[in-house]
Amino acid sequence: MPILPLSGASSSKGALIPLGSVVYTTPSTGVGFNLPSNTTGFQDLMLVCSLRNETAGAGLAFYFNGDVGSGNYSYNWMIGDGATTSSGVATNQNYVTWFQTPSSNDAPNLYGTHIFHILNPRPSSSSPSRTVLYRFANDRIQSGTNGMMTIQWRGAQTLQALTVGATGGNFSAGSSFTLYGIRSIGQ
Amino acid sequence: MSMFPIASTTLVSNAASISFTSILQTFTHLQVRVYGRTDRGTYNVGTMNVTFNNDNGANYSQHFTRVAPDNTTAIQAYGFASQNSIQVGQCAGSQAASGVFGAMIFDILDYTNTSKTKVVRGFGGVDTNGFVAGIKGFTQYSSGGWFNTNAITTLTLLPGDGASNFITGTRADLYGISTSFLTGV
Repeated sequence: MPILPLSGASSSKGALIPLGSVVYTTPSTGVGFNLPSNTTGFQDLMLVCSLRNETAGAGLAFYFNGDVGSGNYSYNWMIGDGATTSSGVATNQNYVTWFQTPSSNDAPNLYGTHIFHILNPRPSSSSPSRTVLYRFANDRIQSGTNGMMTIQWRGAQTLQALTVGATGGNFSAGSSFTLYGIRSIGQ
Repeated sequence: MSMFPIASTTLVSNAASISFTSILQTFTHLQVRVYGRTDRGTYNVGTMNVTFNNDNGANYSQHFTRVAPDNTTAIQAYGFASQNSIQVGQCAGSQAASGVFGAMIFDILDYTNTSKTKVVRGFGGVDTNGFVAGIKGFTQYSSGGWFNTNAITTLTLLPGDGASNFITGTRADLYGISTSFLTGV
């Protein structure tokens, strides 16, 4: 899985700053973004993905700092598929898994959208947890889903990396990943 | 279109509200990003509400769609008229584990337009790794209306659900969104 080098805060004006991006030209297992050890340049982070899986039924896995075995994730979600709605909760998970992406069973050229807002990437004594807001959507011609999830990561370390990987096989060519930093006043 | 930070507040002590005043009128839209926790007793969650221009009258309406808080797979939908504020999201409450905060992002389009009543659209949630006092956390879409065509110059965040304060560490960031190129900013 390629790890993108992350550019530093650019001289661009404005709050929303692109930090790293990749568009796959061949199928790949996913992407990891390495962050500077000091992320004081940004208040929040935002990851925008357009994804398709090569393998039917596969989805995505999302995690921080390579933390995949400590049960440090939990999340609750709501989802609709055009006919029904439902909600759910998962506790003490080793990473976030979600299966709402188009795949080889779907018509060609269909990709799902996935946007992660990572608030409070820097821990402090008063707020060591990170809360992530995740919105997803895909339409597959008479089927599809959209919804939202709130994720808690209880790893108390400084956020150094975040990863989006395919749960089985590869993401298809054309899948894209872009990480943005969101500055606050004075940053 | 570009987004610019206008103001930021991070509480170093508990506070009954967070206000952004004298909001610049040079942008087209506003966005507020909040990381919040209240002192609401008994529960792991507590709402965050917003008012505009110090209007605390029954001049707001709100709707939200959210995860059902109990041990079901339902989704709840609510709508209320004649409210004194707009519920924009969910914070963590006093019974959430230490250091857990809720997150929410909401937008106000055309906030300076004096021909339009103002509409808020937001999303957010809090997760507490399971049930506390029968609530598993929330994921929520929210919207609301302020039935006043005045330009928004003041925005006030208030804890709801009977909470008295936002607690230390709660932060709110206000952004302006421009629809034209700005230079020298």
